[in-house]
Amino acid sequence: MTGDDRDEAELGPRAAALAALARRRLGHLTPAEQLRGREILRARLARRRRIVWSLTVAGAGAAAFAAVLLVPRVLHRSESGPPLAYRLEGGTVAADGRIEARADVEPALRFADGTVIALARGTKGRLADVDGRGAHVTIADGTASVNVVPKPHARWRVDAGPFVINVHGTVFSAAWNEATGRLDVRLERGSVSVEGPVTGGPIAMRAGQRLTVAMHQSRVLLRGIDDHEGDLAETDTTTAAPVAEVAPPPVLATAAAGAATPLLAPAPPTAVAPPPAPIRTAMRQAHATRGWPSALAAGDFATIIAEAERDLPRVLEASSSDDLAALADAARYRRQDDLARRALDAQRRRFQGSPRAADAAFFLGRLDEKEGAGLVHALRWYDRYLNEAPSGSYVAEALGRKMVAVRALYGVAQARTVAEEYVRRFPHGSYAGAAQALRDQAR
Amino acid sequence: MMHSSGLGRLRLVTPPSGESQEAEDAKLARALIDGEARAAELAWDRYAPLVHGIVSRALGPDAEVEDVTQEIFYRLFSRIRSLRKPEALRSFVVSFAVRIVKWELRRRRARRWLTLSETGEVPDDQLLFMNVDNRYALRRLYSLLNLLTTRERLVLVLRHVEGMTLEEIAEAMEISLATVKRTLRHASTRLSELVDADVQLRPAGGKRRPSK
Repeated sequence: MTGDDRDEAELGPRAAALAALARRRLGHLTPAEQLRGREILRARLARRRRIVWSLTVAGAGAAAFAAVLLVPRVLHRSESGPPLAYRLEGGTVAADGRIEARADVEPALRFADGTVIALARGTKGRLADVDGRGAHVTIADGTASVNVVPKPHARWRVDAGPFVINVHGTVFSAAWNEATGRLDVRLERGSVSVEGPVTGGPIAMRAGQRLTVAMHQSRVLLRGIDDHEGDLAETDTTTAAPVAEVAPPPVLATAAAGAATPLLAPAPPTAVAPPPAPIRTAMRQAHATRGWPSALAAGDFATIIAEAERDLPRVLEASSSDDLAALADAARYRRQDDLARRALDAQRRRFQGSPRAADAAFFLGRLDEKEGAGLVHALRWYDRYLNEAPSGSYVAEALGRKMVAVRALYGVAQARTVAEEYVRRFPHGSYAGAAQALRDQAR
Repeated sequence: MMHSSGLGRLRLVTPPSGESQEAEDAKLARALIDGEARAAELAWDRYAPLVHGIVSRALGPDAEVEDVTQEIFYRLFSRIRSLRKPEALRSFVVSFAVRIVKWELRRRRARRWLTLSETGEVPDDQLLFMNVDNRYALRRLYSLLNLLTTRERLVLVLRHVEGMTLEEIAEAMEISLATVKRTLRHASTRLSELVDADVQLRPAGGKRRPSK
């Protein structure tokens, strides 16, 4: 410190110790966070450029556009502010908000904050409302792919038939089939909650999950996004439920993702409101007696961790593969990375060659990546996972992360091969935009 | 025990490598002004850790740190043409970040959200990986910082947590050096008194009191 810095305004020892703690513990951006932020920023800036370009074109020939153009305002804070600017590509918005697509075109709503809601061909959709914080889109029949740019105070809502999907920054698709009464939500990134008939209250979903609700059969199925095990058949009219006493998906709790054991449950025919607290407590107790996968599905991570820590060495050596996976998930969700790593290591050591051991490789890669200096290790784990589970649940994610890691470690040219593979295999995946940009950049 | 006088000060205005750093900054600033394709990403790579640190330490453990950091860069690129001296890009970025953080703090204060988050709940996003004592201590620290004015809080955090010099703070906050000194003296005294008087913090600072 220089003499000029002397301010005679030192903190007392206890306050100084707290300040030092804040300096040590807060504000450290990990390389993974930095990479993710860069990708988000790049996407936002690219969209802004496109919007500016569109507005210029619109200014020159506004009459030629059926799309609605409003004053662009990206930095919106409240719904009382100007509504988000948007335009509809591939169609027009009717006076009542109906989205009328041109023939053989998949229309896409592009908002000024970078959010995109694309409708599959033939989808019946309506733009119900737009305000300064987001928009409300309804799907009467068909599929919407949604990519919401996360922002503070944003409020996005997608209704799919009678179901309400409340959205935060996220990438997901929602399909509603009016004829069969079937909802299918695939969540790639972020979080949403889904509420409607037979859900028994809001169902919180997390990244990598897929939710299917067969309304007519009062069935709810929540599992990994690529997990087809236990799929509900479109024509399924049976009422049998193998896990009879399991309640509907947890109320406002993050349920198990990527679980090999799908959560298949009958739902109460008129259950809309969440069950009262005593029932939730009973559910948690029931989960506890049935095992950690059920507790995980109920979002009861603390119970799993507390039980495991009573005798961790024995747990790691003697627990089932399911329990180890549940423990690893619970620990990851609670950011207890060391515990998660130990559970994942045990999974790989004891259940070598199993799908769960392969999944553990992917999660170990994520942990290494998160810890900063572990990109090289993370890359090795992703390669192991891709070798061990070439059609596993996390292949798209692993390939995307691999691309990001290769780019950071070895540069654009090296990452190009991975990007090309990603675009070829997952043209609509969550890393597709980044992969295309990288591929173009390398040319 | 640790006094702030023992902290290593970060050099935010004058980079450690002197002229070459300034020359690089000037080059980057001109590329940003010209709208060159990769300039924004380079700026992010160079300054995101710095901005993220300022935001995180000023706001406290907050789920919105990432959003606010993004917002700062997004808005910064819109205003880059107002940068008069390209070689002072670093100072420009810091001033811009501090200004946005100040608005954010004032917005929260105006809405009477005096706790650590806008919902009134203490967000655990950045705290989950800490042990319970540190987590609790940080919550208390930022609860007490909420009792200071926005200016006092920012000056104190930039000095004692972020480690900026008084001159850097004056430049970043666009106030005089004398004002910085006066504000810092008052804020430091006040926070020290608040911490010492806080019965929920053990004398060692950072030790959690048994929950009630």
